[in-house]
Amino acid sequence: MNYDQSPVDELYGAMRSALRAEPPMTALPHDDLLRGQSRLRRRRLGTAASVAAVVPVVALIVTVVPSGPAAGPDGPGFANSPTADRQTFDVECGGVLAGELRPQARGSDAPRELIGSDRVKLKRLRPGESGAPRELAGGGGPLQALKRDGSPRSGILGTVEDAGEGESHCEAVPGAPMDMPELDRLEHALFDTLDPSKEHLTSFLAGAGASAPAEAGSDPEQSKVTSASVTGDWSEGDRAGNVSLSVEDPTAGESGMSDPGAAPCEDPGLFSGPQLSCERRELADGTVVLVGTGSKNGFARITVHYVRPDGQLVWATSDQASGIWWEDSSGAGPLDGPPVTVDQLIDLAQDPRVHL
Amino acid sequence: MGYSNSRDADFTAYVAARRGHLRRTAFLLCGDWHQAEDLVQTALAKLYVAWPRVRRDGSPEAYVRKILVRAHVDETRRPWRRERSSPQLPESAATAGLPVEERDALLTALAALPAGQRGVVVLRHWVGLSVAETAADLGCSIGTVKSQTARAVARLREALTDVAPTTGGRA
Repeated sequence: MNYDQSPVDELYGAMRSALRAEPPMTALPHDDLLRGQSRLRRRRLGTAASVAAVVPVVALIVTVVPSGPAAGPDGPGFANSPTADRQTFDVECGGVLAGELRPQARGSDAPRELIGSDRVKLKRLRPGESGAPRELAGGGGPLQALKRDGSPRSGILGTVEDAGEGESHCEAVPGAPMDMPELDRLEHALFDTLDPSKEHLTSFLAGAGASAPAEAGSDPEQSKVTSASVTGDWSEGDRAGNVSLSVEDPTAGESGMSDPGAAPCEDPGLFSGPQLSCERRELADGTVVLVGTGSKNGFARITVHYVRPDGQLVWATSDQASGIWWEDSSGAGPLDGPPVTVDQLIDLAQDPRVHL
Repeated sequence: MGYSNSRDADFTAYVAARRGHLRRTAFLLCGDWHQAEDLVQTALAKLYVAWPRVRRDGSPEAYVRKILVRAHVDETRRPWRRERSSPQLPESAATAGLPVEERDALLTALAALPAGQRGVVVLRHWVGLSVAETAADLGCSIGTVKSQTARAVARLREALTDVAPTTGGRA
């Protein structure tokens, strides 16, 4: 090739030739449209969530629980095996990065604790492939964890940072297997209170937010858990709704509202999604809870907000449609109404196991 | 037609018309078809978010091109990307055009360039942008584009001196 004579034409021609090995394009414009719509929704959610995200840099921990409860020694059906290997799961933060975290090299029997950063790679997302976006309280904006069937619980740490254009993203980095008692307690409370016969709750997703270690490079396990959330699809036949439970320590996130009974219904940040009504309900023992009813994308949502005596904030939510339905309408159709009642949500929110 | 439907229809039409070109541009930037697909997906998702403003400005192509180039540069700055340099070509197939050795040599030489220089080469010689347009896309000065182009072409020339010359003009 002689670039001295006509570099532009020579280079252009060489590039054209190099592109003749182009594989066929399988993605459709509609796929990009769905991804764009999804991103726009997350962007709007993130904008709303960022109001409460007062900690500029936090560590986020994502845990993935296998689909379908299976009886085990740890409680009502969780295959909680942090030592299991060969897990693969994806994580996306802020709608920017989709990372695939792999175990040690294929065929390796080495422990899974440390995973080389070169094994974190970008992954293409396709409609229907992803799970629902989950907003985790405690800062950092929306965080999406994608479940792979059969994956044991493990964790990813992500650092939220400014990625330009007003967005934030997480860079997935390897994390050691975790055993989080906070999430165990929430999961057990959710099952025992709402679905003791274990007929409906499937496809669990659990996550926690943690304050960052004081110094860069510190051991992430020194982080303090400041929020935790578990959510699950509620299946009835071929239809599905969603239930979720979140706890937040307001003293870590400076989100206020630490005075039991003082949380006003008028607070626009109190409930997630449009609210049609908010009711202060005083229980027999004098405890005050807030009950929000509303809709999201046209489907009903009930949320109970409870402030524990120790100041930790609890939200228990019942959605008529599942998270995947919100995301791209490719999941199971919605239920006829929210899967559990207000009274069940109140019982759940006040369960003594529901705390950090 | 409602606002959302109009937006979706316009966006879909644009993607249908330009997706292939964008993917080829992304491939030349990164040298890997899978990563190129990732870059395009990311860029188009961002484009959708900004679609009303971009359409109003009349420059969706420039917008999405900027995202592609900058996203690629960002990628190369990530630690795991920096560690992934490899002498092996990611993908190639025996097809018509340049001999396989020469085509592979070009891709290898492109891959060996720093991300910024590769971006300059692709924008100038593949997309056909002017120096000023390239500078605008990359967010740098015209002088930087000129110097980066000179260095990139010199390195390409050096890398490809052992490859037999062939014809390859603009079709």
